Order: sequence, then structure tokens, then C-alpha cells
Amino acid sequence: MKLPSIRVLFLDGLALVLLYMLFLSPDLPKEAHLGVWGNLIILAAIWGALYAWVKVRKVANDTRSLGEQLAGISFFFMVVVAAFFFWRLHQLGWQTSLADHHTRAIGRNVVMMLIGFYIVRYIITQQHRALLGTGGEAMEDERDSEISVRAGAHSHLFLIFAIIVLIVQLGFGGNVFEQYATPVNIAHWLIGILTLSCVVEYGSAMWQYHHINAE
Amino acid sequence: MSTNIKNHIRRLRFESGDITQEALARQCGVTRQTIISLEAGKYTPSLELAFRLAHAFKVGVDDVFEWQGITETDSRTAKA
Repeated sequence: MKLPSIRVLFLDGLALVLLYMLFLSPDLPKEAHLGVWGNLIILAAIWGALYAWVKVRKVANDTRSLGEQLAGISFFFMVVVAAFFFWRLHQLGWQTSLADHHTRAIGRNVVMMLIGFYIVRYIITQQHRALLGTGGEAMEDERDSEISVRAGAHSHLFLIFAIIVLIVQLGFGGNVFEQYATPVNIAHWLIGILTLSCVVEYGSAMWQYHHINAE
Repeated sequence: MSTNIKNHIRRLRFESGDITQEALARQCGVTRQTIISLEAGKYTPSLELAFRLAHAFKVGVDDVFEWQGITETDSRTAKA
């Protein structure tokens, strides 16, 4: 499939901006090598998602609703964010200061992944709107809403369960657990739980779409 | 998510002059994928959408949807 030149230019421009922000941004520490793999994952995730979607967008728009496409993209990004976060969690340490370069590099990577995620979502939504704009077909309907509500409920259940587990561990974990339960570390765990709850939400939506589409 | 409610959307589309799924989706304000799911019997519409579909075909809701009755699975669930 031949890509329209304006889209290629846009993707190239986006990649350059991301490269600048990730590697040449003035506040990057000298020990930036710690973030190289994370940065590569970000770029690969954003670029891969956009490129793959551009390649299959016609088929995707014919066979999948916008809600289903977004659920898939969101699940993909959240899995990448969660995997990166938990992979790097040990590097955050138990007594990390937020002023620490390594911590900030990891935090920046996670934030960049989330920004990339919203850019991809925005592009897909706008493209879908442009395609349907002339036809007058709905972008989302009651089926998408029902799936979204159920997925949100599953995510909520997971969140409650995980928070209860954390509370019980903090309350009854004993001395072994207490040495890890620093304020910053608890914040990291909560971020991890929130990220996983997003994975559960989008995973549930994907599963429901798959189930409803299954022959 | 299969249901006890059978529908005749596919037949009505052809009887109403080969209305495409896309055109029907536009008339009812839903996505084409929802029409596909409905025709495959994988999705039960809301009451409002049922009326919209009936209105699009200019027939009654009874002509579009048909309740299949209580299945064996439903009976077991109700008893439990």
C-alpha cells in the first residue's frame, strides 16, 4: 500500500520530535544509557502502532468499530507501559528520591509512552471521524457503551481487590514487609496497580469484542 | 452472548430492496459492526434500537424480532 506523502511526513516529524525529547532534552542526565531500552521501547511502540494501523486501517475500519480498534490499541500500549514499569521497578529502589536522575528517566519514559498512546488514539479517532463524516454512520453506539461499562466494572473490581491486598499487606505484613513500605515505594505500587487496572479494562473490552464477534 | 431472541433483519434488508448493512446502520444511528452482530444473533439490542430497526423497515417490532421462548439453560438458572 502506497502511503500518502503527508502521512509519511507527519510520522517522520513525530519521530524526530520524540527522538529530541527522549535523547537531547536539556534535563537528561549524563547517565542516560539507563533509559535507552526504555526509549527504544517507546519509539517502537508508537511507531509500530501507527505504522501497523496505517497498513491495515482500511480493513480495520471495515471489520472493526472504532471502540474495538481503540480497545486493541489501548491494551497494546498499557501492556507495554505495565511491562516497562514492572521491569524497571527494582531500579526505583526502596528509598528513591524523586530528584534522582534514574527515577526521573523511568518516569519520563512512562509519561512519554502515555503521551504517545494519546497521540495514536487521537489520530485514529480523527481518521475514523473523517472517513465516516461523509456517510453519517455512527462512530460509537450502545454496543460500544455496554462493553465499555462492563470493562470499567471489571477494572474497578480489580482495583478494589488490589488495594485491599495492599492494605492487608501494609497492616499485617509484619517487619519483613515494613522495610519495603517507604512512602515513595507505596506510590510506585499504587502507580503499578493503576496501570494494571487499565490493562484489565482494555483487556476485558478486547475479550468482549472478540466474544461478540465470534462465529 | 447469544440470545433467545431471533431476528429477521437480514431477510428484511433484502425484502426492503437490498438495503446494505451500512445504510441500515446510518438509518438507525449505530455502527455497521452492530448490525453484523445483530444479524449473527450475537447481540441483543436495546428497546430503542429495536424500535429504530422496525421503523427503518416500516414494520412492527414483532416483525423484526421473535422471542424463542425459555430455553433449558434458562429454566435451570431460574430454578437455581
